[in-house]
Amino acid sequence: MGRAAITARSRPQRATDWLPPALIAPAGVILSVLLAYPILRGIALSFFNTRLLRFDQGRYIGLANYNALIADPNFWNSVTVTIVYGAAVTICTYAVGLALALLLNRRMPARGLLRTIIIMPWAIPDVVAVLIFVWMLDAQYGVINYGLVEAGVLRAPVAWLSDADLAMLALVMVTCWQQFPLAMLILLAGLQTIPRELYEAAMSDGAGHWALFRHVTWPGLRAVNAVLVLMLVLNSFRRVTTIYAMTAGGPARATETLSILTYNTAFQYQQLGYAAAIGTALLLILLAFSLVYMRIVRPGAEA
Amino acid sequence: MTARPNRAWRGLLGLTIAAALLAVPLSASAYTFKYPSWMWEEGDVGVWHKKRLAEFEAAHPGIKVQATLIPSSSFEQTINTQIAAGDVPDLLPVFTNMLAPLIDAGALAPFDDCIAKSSLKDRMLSSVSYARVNGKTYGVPLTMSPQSMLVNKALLAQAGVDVPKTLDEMYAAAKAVKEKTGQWGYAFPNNVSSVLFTYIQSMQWVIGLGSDWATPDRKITADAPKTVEAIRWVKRYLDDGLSPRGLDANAVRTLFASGKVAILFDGPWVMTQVQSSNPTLLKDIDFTLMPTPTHAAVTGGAYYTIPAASPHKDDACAYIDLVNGEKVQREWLEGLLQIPGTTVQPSPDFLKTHAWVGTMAEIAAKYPSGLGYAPPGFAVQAPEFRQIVTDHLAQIYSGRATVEAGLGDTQKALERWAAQQ
Repeated sequence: MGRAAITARSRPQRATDWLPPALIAPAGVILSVLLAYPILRGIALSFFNTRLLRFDQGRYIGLANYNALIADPNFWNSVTVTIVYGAAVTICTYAVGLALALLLNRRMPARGLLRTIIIMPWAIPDVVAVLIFVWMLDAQYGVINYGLVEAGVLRAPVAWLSDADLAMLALVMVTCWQQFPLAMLILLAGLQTIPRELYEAAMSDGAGHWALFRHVTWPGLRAVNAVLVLMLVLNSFRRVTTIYAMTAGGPARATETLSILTYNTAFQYQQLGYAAAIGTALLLILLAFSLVYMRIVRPGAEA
Repeated sequence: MTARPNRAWRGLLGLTIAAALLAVPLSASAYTFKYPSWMWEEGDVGVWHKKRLAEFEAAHPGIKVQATLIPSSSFEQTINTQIAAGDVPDLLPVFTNMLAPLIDAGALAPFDDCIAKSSLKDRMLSSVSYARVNGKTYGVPLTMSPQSMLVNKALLAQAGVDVPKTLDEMYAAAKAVKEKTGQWGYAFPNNVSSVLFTYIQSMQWVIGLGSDWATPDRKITADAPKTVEAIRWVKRYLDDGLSPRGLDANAVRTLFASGKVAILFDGPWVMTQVQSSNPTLLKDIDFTLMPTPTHAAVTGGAYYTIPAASPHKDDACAYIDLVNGEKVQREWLEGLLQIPGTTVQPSPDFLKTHAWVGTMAEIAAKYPSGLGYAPPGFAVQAPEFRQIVTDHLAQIYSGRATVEAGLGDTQKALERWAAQQ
């Protein structure tokens, strides 16, 4: 009787044990092929002196690519550029996204229409957006220069994309413009999960706007912030299309992030092995960042 | 009951397999001939190429030409990656700067035998020498032209100056144009994000003053007095507001074709652009000698090549013969204003209306192909070399470094890099 009862209980459990892995398996196989294999192949390639047009003639050189990387000023320049670009884009995108999310979280006329309009930049393909901005930022014909000169902000047109000081600023602005709707949507969703009662209780205690934001909104967005900031940082670290189409890493490597350096090294200079080492370094940097970041923001971390 | 239909199906399957096997020998000569190019949709040039494609297919029944369009901006990277991945074209047009790395990597086949049997062997341009390594020919010119001085004679006349013949005259002319007409005296690509064009433009000046960035024995000469003098000239135009800042090659050409620039150093393709976008301006444009002391002109273009791994080299050879036929080459020149890859004697009528073509041919005859595209001694590693030079030119053009200090840094950076090669 007892054994029969155990058997009867365990039978359905055994059936469900196999179901999840079976369902995940196809996606797992596809992911392994599309993600794991290229990553592992790339890491392996970083120990060879392979060149693009001599792909079969690559020789194993141990850590030589990594030693060269450490001594390469262009690599360290790209590390700096990547950090500056990533930080600036994340701060700008988050700030604009939060401001608009707070605005659109209020009751107001045409709120739905406004939300739709604000999402538009995110719906435009990267390349199309970049081509439009390249024209707008053109040193000779650009509408941005025209507007700024007409408004008296600039005395003469400036070369936004070929001046090393301005190119990064232009790039951050464009990336921020492309990404803020995503940040806004995620933050808006986060804001709508904060119970109204918390605001009402705080207001009945006499809390003002700043106190409400600091003690109710900000803690309420904590989980959303953790994911959003990680997403924004990772996106900016691996972004290629926008940067390549706008500046290709120039002028004078002022916008050459690690992703762009990897691309240029592999396909312009044809040093596939060395490019793989740069890509692996980028992977390690992102892994380290993600681990440290998740450790900092995990629930109960401040305890 | 079920045995009969099974047998019938099996019989049908057997017949199908037999038919398929019989069909194999019949279709063995039919295949797809892979011919990627950046030119397939280039207006009249694309139409010309499609006509040749149709002629080739008509002459070779069973061969289907796969005309893949790859944009010129990404042509080199795409082709290199395809070849590395084993997806090899049968006929491959390459830009001048692509030739040396492809030959060095063994990716191209020599085709001297093909040339010897073809009709173009007696009409080859001397620029074929750039595609010759160790006595073997790896490419024949597709189009080859010097980049010399283009002038808008109407703008110069408005400013009361003649076509300049020296650097001092050119500076005075550019200044007069700016002051008297408000248009640009001289424009050049200085959007340093575009490495190749920034480098080539600097070469117009550097070789024009008799120098280069390196010598054939791989000695770096970035801080040689003549190189310094050349870059000082370029910088002067930016500093004095006589040249627009931040433009790439396309923007500069558009500006010139719209009549807003008096002097430009570029190739004859600008004439084609003027003819199509602003035909009334064409009569005012001239293509003439560089005003630099040596008058040397950066010379380049493109070549037809046959990849080493192509299984259809004979057909590629036939295609090269077809596109270099005497009649179609004349059409290429006189109909499209494209500079032919073979010697073509223009008709007197054509020369009467396009005198600049004669001047250009004279200039082209004086300078070797590939001059200016790749630094001597570093043709294979040219992309990195050009990048280093352009990185430092960016510092100089923006005023962050003086010409002397910037080129001193260039010298050190190039020497450091060259030592690792």
